[in-house]
This record gives sequence, C-alpha cells and structure tokens, in this order.
Amino acid sequence: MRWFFEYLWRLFGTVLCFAVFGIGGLVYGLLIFPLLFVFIRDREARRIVARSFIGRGFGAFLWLVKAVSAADIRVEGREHINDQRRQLIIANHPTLIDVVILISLFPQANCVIKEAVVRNPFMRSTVRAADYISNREPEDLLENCISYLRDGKSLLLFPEGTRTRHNEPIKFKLGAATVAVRANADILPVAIECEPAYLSKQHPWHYVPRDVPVFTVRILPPRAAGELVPRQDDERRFRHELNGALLDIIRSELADMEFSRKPIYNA
Amino acid sequence: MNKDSLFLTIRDILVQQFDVEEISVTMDANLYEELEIDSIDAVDLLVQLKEVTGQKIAPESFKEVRTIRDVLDALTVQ
Repeated sequence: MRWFFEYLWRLFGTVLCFAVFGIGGLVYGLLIFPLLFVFIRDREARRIVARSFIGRGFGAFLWLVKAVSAADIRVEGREHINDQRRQLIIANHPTLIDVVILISLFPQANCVIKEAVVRNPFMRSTVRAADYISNREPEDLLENCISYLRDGKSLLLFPEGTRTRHNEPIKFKLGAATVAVRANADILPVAIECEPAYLSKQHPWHYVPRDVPVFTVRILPPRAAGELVPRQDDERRFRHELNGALLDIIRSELADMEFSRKPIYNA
Repeated sequence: MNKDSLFLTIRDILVQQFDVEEISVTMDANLYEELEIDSIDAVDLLVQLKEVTGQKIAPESFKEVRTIRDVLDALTVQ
C-alpha cells in the first residue's frame, strides 16, 4: 500500500514539474526574452545573458524534479565541466530531459533545436535570444555547427539525432563525428543512463515507473579526435572510425553503469 | 541545365570526390548501397549541386532520394 501512495505522490509531482516547466517557458518566451531584445541590443551580449537565464531556469526545474522525487539525478565527473572551452559535447539520448540536464551543466554551450520549436510562437524569442542553431536545412546545419566550433565555443550534439528507443542498441549518425573532424575540436563525451526507463521515446510524459527513476550522468574528460583514432587524410574513413570510437566509449560506460547497478552475489 | 549535363556533373563529383568508379555511375545506381555514399557525402553532394545548378533540393525530397535518377528528378521538378 505504501508504494502506491509514493507512486501517486510522484505522479502528482511529475504533473507539477511539467506544469511548472510549461509556465516557466511561457514566462521566459513571452516576458523575459522579449524584454532582453529591448534592453540588450548587442547579439553576443544578449546570447550570453539569455543562455545563463536558460541554464538557471533548467537548474531550478531539475531542483524541483528532485525535490518531489519525480527522479533522482546523479552527476559524475563534474571536474570536467567547462562551458567556455572549445569543444564538442556529445551524449546519448535516453530521455526527454537530457538536454535540460546538459544545458544546466553547460549553460553557455550551443545546441541544435528542431525547426518546429524555432517556429513555435511561445518559444521563438527564447531560441532566438539564445542564438541556438536550427536543424532546418541539412547542409546549413553541418556548416553552422562547424563554424560555431571554429569560433572557439562549445557545442552540444546528440549523435543519435533523436531519443534512443528503449532496449534497442544505440546508433550514432555520422554528423557529430564529421563536425568534430572538420572543426578539429576536442570531444567531451557524456554517458546518460536512466533506470528504470522514464520519459523515453516509447513512454508518454505522464508515465511514472514504480521505482524512482535514477539518472546517472557521467561526464568524461575531453579528448582530441586524434587521440581516439589515428588521424588520417581520408576524411570519410576518419569520420567513420571516430564515430565508431565515440559509440564504443558511450556503450562501454553504459555497460559499466548497468554492471555496477546489479548486485553481485558471491558464493 | 538539362538532365544529361546534370548527370555528367553528378558523375564527375562522385568520381572525383567520393572515389566512385566511373563505370558504376548509372541512372539507377543506388547512392547509398551500390555507390557507398554515406549520409555526410550526400549532404556534401547537395551543397555542390546547389553551387553548380543554383537550385536547391528541399530537405524532405532529398531524404527520399535513393538513385541518381531520383536526384535528377528532385532537381528538375522545381
């Protein structure tokens, strides 16, 4: 019986979190960010302020998520956090709120936003003020990501391109590896696990598992592409091999997390 | 630009930049399976075709493209 009340409480907490997220998004999109456009005319300065607002907003949201026990979020490797560095942050994508977690940790990093969100009237001013990259045209997307990194800033990409289907193996598209190769940027891999499954591609947002979902976010040290696979002139081979190496890193971290979750019985 | 010269343009790009054998470039050759073009090559090809022809292929129709004939159709439809 007790777990049932806990479950009900978490269901309520989850609905509350989403309500707060929606209202917060409206306040940002309709009030704070339109005002930013009025008071800060310089695009660069506005971007920095906008992203720090978004990072804090996401941080507050995650505090609420933890406070109502909708989920627990454990971050490992905080010493590698640095959003001022020129690097490509890559992560696997198990849940809807991975980007919220990562942006709260790396607020000044750029990221790619769905065209539908860019056009959404409630979100438009937020996305524009933060100067995030739209995924509208594939050729521009690749070029925008590369030139942003070349400028010496950090960029966040989910190489899967969409959320992982739960219980299916992770696959990376080539885009992220190509961006790293062409921009000659360091790569900071982040492995994200959520157990039990929650906010995944197959589950609706109001699905609440019986046990508290625990996020493990493991931030690994940044590395140059040439450290992971031998640098080579044939770019196509380079990007395929780098992509494979990045996938191996994430998969082995996820396997390690799964292993350490399961109890070991000694005879 | 007519279809024949477009075909030759595409063939030249594929041969020179993507290490495709000239003989395997036919109208019905599948870019991804037969010519071993990956998704990034496809985007690069798209960028170059845009420069050469001045025409853009809509991202949605490029996703549907499988053969060289499909590329030509997507380019000349507009």
